[in-house]
Amino acid sequence: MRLINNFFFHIGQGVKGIFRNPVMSTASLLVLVCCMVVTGTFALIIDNINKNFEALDDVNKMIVWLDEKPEAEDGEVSGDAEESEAPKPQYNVHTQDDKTQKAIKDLEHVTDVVFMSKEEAFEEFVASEGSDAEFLEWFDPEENNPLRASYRITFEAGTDTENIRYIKKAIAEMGFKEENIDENIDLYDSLINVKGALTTIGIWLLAVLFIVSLFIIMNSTRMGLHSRREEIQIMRYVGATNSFVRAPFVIEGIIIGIVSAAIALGIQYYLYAHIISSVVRQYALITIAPFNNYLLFISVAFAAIGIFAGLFGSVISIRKYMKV
Amino acid sequence: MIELKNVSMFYEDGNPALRNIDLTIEDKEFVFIVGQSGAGKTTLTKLIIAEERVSDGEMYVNGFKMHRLRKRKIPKLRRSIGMMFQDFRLFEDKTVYENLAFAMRVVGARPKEIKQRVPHVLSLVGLAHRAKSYPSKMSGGEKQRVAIARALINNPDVIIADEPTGNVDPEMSKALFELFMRINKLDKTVIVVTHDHNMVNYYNKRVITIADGHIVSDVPAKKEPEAAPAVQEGGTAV
Repeated sequence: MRLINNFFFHIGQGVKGIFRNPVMSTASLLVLVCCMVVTGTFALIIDNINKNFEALDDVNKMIVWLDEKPEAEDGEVSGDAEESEAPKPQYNVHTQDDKTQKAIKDLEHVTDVVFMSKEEAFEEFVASEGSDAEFLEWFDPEENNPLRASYRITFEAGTDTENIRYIKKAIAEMGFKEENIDENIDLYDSLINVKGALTTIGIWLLAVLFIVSLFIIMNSTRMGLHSRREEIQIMRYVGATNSFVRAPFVIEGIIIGIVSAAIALGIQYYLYAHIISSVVRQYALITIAPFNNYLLFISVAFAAIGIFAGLFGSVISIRKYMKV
Repeated sequence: MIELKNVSMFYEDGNPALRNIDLTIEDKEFVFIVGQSGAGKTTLTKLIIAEERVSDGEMYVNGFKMHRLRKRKIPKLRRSIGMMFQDFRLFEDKTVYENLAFAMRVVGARPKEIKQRVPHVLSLVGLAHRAKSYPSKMSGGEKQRVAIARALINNPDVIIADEPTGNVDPEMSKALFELFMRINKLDKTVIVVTHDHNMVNYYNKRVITIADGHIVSDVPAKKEPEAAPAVQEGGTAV
């Protein structure tokens, strides 16, 4: 019963504290809101860029073109090789072969291998260029299809260029000519570097803004505490415990943190859903995920930042006044 | 009981505030502590409430070992001591009732206990009619009585008053000292630090004189004859 009594007493004192120093409380609140919105906006933009990188086709893919057979062998099945005296090749580099496909798929960092026939390649080309494309006047999928069959290899997102080179080398060792293996190592490398740089900048920005906001909150809390130092002194003289003295100030900090988080969430929603999204859409820079995808994460993150900043700021600030 | 055995207290810069103090104040005793400014009187009271810590020697207050007192025990010690100051240290934005209620509330008293105790203590100091007044509308003497009421509110064993009459007129001073005598008769130990020699001489109580951090004299109250008048004038040499 006494605990419940004390709890409500502290809540009441905490709320009173906010209104007792309205200027400082508002300053703390605004600083926290600004920090949350700036860090939140940056985090959302970085995440969207990352997602766009992951979604980019052909970046983490490799194409292995199958060798066209010499004219003389046209019409023969690949199995005919066993009748010749030449040593039997371990992998078939001319036509689709399950063993070869599986061997590629078993390579480290490879997640998928899909065979694409000449006809499918033609269809894909038509789909990308449109059915009224000029080349259709010259080529026909059954008579003179200029495209080649291929294996489309996908590897894990984030695979570094060294491992991509290893995959390429391993495929070449199977008998595929190196000039028949297309990859995007340079583009992939650049994208990974940009992504890494953005993430590093983001983390530093978050850290710096958080520390700055923490210091501002600590100063605001200190000024509030300074104006109430006599109150604290009297509480200490009459025998209040440290936790009892701290509680209203900590609760005050937490309330400011939670209110800041709620306000920041509203601003963040408006900023993201109405301003950032429309700007990005207007210039067709990247695809933006809907705010609802981030709602839970942003709410929890803002609440955590607010509560932690309020709690930490007030606890650190009050230590000086607990020495009586 | 308050007991100091060869207690010394040094400031951070190494200068001594109190040196080799041997002192015992029994329960329910009334003691005046006198001396020049800077002699060490206030430091002694600060040692008693653990605002300053003993540098050397042994000290006991109401059963607490002050020379080994852990921080978390300080609130419990302070609940057994009522402290009042020359500058009153009241909340100007709270009424008299609220000032007292707050002092009870911060030590965890329930609202029901507060409602019973505050009017009782206010009537004890003669301020029952001023419960709803704000300190800013009160005289120095009244404010000091509110401070006494607050010191008493949590029913401590010891009351310490540091220069309680420094900000009140002579007539009110006498009324305050009379109040301290009444409080002492309620079986409380009362320690009054004062410069008011007239009052010290007026009341026949133990007087401890401190100079340069030492106790230079400790004169006990003269034993009163059975049917003698309550107050003896000039009973103590300071």
